[in-house]
Amino acid sequence: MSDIGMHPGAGGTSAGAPRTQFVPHTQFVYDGRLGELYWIFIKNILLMIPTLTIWRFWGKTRMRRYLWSHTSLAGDRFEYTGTGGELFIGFLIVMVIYVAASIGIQILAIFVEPDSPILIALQFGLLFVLLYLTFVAQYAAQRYRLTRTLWRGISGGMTGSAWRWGIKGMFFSFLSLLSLTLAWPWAQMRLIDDRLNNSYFGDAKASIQTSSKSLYLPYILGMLAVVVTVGMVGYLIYMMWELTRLVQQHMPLGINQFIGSNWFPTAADRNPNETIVGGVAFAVVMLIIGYLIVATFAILVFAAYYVAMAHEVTNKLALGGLRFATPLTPGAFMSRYLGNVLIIVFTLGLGLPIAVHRTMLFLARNIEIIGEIDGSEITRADLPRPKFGEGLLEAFDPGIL
Amino acid sequence: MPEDRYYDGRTATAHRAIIRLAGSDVVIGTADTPELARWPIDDMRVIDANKVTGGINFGRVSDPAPRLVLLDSPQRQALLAKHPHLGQWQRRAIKRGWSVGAVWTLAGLVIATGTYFGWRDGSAALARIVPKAWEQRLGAHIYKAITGNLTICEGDGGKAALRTLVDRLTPPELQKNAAEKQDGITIDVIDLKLPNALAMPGDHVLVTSGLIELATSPDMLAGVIAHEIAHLDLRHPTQSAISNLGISATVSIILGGSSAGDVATLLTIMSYSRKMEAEADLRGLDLLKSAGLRADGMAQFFKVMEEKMKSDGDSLLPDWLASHPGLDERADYTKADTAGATAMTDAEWQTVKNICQTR
Ligand SMILES: [Zn+2]
Repeated sequence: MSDIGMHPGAGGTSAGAPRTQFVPHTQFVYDGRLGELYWIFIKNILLMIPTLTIWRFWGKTRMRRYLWSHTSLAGDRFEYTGTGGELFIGFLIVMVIYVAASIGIQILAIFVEPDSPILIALQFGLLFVLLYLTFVAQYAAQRYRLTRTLWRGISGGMTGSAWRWGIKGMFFSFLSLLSLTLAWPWAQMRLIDDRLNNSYFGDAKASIQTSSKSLYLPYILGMLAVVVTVGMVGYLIYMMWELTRLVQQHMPLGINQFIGSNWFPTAADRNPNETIVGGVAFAVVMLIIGYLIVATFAILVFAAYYVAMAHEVTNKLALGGLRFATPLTPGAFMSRYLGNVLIIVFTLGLGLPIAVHRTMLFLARNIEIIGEIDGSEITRADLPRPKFGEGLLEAFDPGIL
Repeated sequence: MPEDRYYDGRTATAHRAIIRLAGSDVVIGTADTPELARWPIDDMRVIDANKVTGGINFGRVSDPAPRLVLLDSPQRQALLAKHPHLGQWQRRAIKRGWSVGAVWTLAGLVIATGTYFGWRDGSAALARIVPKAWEQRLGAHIYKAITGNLTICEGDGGKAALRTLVDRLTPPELQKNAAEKQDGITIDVIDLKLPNALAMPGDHVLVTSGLIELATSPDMLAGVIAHEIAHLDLRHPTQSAISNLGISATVSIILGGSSAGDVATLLTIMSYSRKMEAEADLRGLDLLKSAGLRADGMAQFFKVMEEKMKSDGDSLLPDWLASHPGLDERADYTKADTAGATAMTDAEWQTVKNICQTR
């Protein structure tokens, strides 16, 4: 480990030129086993039923523990130190506030005229707040995960305010909307820069200054493809709309209000029920198909863009004396994401561990760390540790990871 | 090659650990430094074990950061043999998992049963303290939502006859009262084949033309209307709205997201429990009797309904599956004698029967 410069230089071909120092490239190693991951997953699913899904916070934590502890860097393993209780309490706080607010608004809706400006303003306000919170959530979740990740006895951390970053995120989204999304690559990179520049491992701060120049060509090509296809998608939505209307014609409005009042059930009473069940099943199938189409499309069209983004971020990122790189190609990107979408959809979610396993291998393969990994300079930083988990993210993204 | 590791929690240095046991401590050193740290064994805990390497990850109870990763070795075996509490970490983790699981299963069951039963009674209590004015506005909202898509029959004579019937049946507490900003009960017939009747918050009663068609005497109709007025008198619509609201809030808090969704739609889906239906039947009978009307129409109507269901070949659902008391059961307990006046004159009954034909 203390042998920098002892290796023959890789660029020592031209005599007289200064010897290029050998710079080691290191990759993450993921050695988890799919079978073990599945076992955790199955136990989680089984425990979700009697706990009315509340187990999911502990389940998610077990999953993360496994993944972290089977990922190593330079021979040293990561450790996830978060707990299910932290996630659950974070989630509960957010949900109670959110549900109270949305019910409050809807009760208010009963007492004012349906088109009253107060109500419209409030509903817009709630939407606005929701969008804002999804930004805040991303920042807060990153902070939580960093503070709960331990490597060589040192944990990560994050400075800065999630609320302030959220405002910036909202403002940038607004700007890019004004520019017909043309400002989006620029905005996205600024937001990523902000998050990374506030991230720490021990007292080593990450630093980055990206440029969005390299992103514009793939982005504009992608957007062109979107514009061309938008007509097709529009037609599909129109068809779905028509079909929904057909379903509704078979279910006269107002009838369903009577089902529950049950003076008595009659044939006519029950049929609307069946129509509703049919309608719901139909909607679910349509939703899955729609999701498949949109996801596949987005992956294919924006693969080059996301790959360019990954290259830009890894090329410009520095942590302590370390630099980064990625061998990621659009092909590898597409195979990972398309593969995962297909696996999850066609196994009705039961293939999730396969997708997770593939993702871990994908990440390990595609992140390279350039430089001598020597932690003796990095000391514990004791940055503020949030008490609760990713409540916001948890509330609006009930993913299993 | 994996090897024993010690991380001191102060810097991210990986020490190649060499350990030895010294009394009740583990002494951690390296090839260069014989003693880097000394951990009291009582302060040690096992964080996890790695199946791939066989390494056990030790930490300290008093400090969250430092870690000691030991592969299988005679020293580790000696440590575990001497301090079996360390070796039992897995059993403890499983125990903890079970207790967390049990606690939340229990919590889940309590929440579920609490929601199911608690809200029924709790909402009955709450419904009694909801101001009448709120109920009026909620009712106006629902009334608009339901009747907006349907035709209301306006046959003049029929309307007047129904008005008189409703006024006779209305108990004093629901009568028009300007001082308490009460409007009294409204009644509307809507043009719909499906035989049904509905009571809405804000004291609105709806009857479908299909139901009037099915009734062979005004007393049957009076029975149905008395039942609906009884729902209003017992404040069932508000109770059901409150209980639905509570259930949907609980569900969306537990499951996340906003299944609290469209509360307004939810409020209009008013479902009554068996108990509420039975209460309304009995209270309805009381209303008929105190109005001096014949009370046998209600039971007769249940019989007519049962006949219709049989002839439609639609009695497949066992009784207990439907959330209302069975029709023959209801016909049974609402049985009444023929004492009392008939609800309408023949002429009035004719205008009611034709209420949807005239404009
Ligand atoms: Zn009823």
